[in-house]
Amino acid sequence: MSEFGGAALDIYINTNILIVVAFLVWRCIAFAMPQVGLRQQHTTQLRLLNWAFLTILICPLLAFGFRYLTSANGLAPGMTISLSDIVVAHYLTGDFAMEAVRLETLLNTRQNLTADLLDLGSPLAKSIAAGFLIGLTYFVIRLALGVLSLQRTLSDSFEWRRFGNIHLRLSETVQVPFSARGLRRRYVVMPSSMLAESEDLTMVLGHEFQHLRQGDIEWETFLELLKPIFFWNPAFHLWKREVERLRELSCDQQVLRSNRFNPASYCLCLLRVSRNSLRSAQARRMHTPSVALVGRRSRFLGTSHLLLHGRVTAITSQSQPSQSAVVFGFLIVPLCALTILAALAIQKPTDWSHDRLMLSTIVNLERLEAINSAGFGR
Amino acid sequence: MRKKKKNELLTEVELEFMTELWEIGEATVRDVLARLAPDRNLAYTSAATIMRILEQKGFVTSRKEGKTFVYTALLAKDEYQTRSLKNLSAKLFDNAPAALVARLVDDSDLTEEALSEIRDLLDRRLGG
Repeated sequence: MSEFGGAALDIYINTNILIVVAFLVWRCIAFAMPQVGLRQQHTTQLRLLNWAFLTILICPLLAFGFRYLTSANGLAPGMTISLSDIVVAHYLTGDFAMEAVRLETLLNTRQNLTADLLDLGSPLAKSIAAGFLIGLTYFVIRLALGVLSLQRTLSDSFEWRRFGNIHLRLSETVQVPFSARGLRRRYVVMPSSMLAESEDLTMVLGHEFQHLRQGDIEWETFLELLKPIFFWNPAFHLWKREVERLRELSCDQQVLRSNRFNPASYCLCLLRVSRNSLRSAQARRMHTPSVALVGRRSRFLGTSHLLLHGRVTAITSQSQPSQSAVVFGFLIVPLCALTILAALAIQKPTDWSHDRLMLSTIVNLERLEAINSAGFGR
Repeated sequence: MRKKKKNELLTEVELEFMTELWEIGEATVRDVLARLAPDRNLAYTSAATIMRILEQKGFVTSRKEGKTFVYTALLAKDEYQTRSLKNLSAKLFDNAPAALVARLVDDSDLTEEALSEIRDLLDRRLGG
C-alpha cells in the first residue's frame, strides 16, 4: 500500500511539475508565433495545447518504459538523463562549489518531502494533506453542483431539434447560448428569446456547431473533471484559461472563414449576447462543464470582457492563415519533446550511479572530518 | 414533443404571439406571422417552434386541419393579466398588492381620467 501510495504521489507531483514546464514552453512558443507572422493560427495553437496536455498525461507511461529500457536487462543500460544525476556529475567535475552535505540534502528534498507526506509525520505534511483534502472536497462539490445545475437547465428546457446525438434545446432560464455533453448526448442550448433574432440564431448555431466539431465540449468536460485534482496548481488554471481563449478565437475564425457571415454583424451579435448575460445571474451561477458563447471567467484570472475585447480585435484583423498543418507539425515536436525530456529528467533515480556513490563518499568523509575536528577540539 | 412542466409566465416573444392569438381567437402559425409587424423578420420555423413551446407550457392547444395546426388559446388574456400581476406583486412588492396599486397611483403619468377609472373600479368592487 505504501509503495503504491509512494508511486501514485510521485506520478502526481511529476504531472504537476510537467504542467508548469509545458506551460512555460508553450508561453515561449506563443510569444514567438506572432513574431514570425503566425498570430492568426488560433486553431493550431489550440491543437498544440491539447496535444501537449495529452503528452503530459502519458508521460508516466513513457517514463516507465524508459526506466525499463535503461534497466540492467534493457536495451540501453547505464543511460540516464536524470536531472539529479546531471547535477551531481557537474558538481563532481567542479562546475559549481557547495558543501557536499548541503547538495545531498537538496537532492533528497523531494524524496524526504514525499516520505513525510505519506507518513504524515510532521505538522507541515499534515497541513498540506489537510489543505489538499479541503480543496479537493470544495472543487468536487462545486463540480457536482455544476453538473446538477446543468441537468436542471437541460430538463427545464424545450427540445427544439435533433441531429443524431446532438440535441438542440431552447431555454427560458439562460441568456447565453452554450454547448455541453452528457455520457451519450451532446447539447446546444439556446435562449428561447433568440428565436426572434434570426440572424443571431444562425450565427450562434454556426459557432456552437464549430465547438462540437473541434471537440471543445469534450476537452472542457475533461479539464473540469481534472480541476479538483490540480486545483492548487496555478499553471493548470492558466492552461485552462488559455484553452478557453483559444477555442473561442478558433471558433470565431472558422465560422467567419465560411464567408456566410459579416464580421461586423458577428461582433455585434457577440456584444448583444454579452449584454444579455449581464442581465442574468447565469454567468455568476453556473460553474458547469459547458462551453458558453461568451465567457464566464474566474475572478482570479480576469474578467470576460478582456476575452471579448480580444475576440473582437481578432475578428476585425483576420487574415488568411498560412499552412496550419505544417505549422502544427513544426511546433508540436519541440513542445512535446521538451515535455517528455522534462518528464524523464525529473524521475527519481532508480539505482546508485557511480557519481552518486562518489557524492555519498564525499559526504561521509566530510562528516568524519567534522567528528574528528570536534574530537580534537575537546 | 414531450410534455414539459408548465411555466407560469410568457417570454417577450411568446407574449407577442399570445397577444395576436387572443385577438383572433384561433390561428395557424402563418396567421400569427401575418399579423406581426412587417419588419419583424421572423422565420416560419422559429414561429412554429414558439407555438410548440406555448403548447408545452399549457397556454395554447392545437388541432390538426389537413397539414397545418390550428392553435387556440387555453388561457384567457385577463387570466394571464391576473397571473402576471400576482407574480409582479409577489416578486417586487413583497406580496402586498396595495403597494403595487400605491406605486401605480404615485405615477406622475397617471391622468385624472385614469384615476377616475380606477376609482370607479374600486367602487364597483367594494360596493358589490
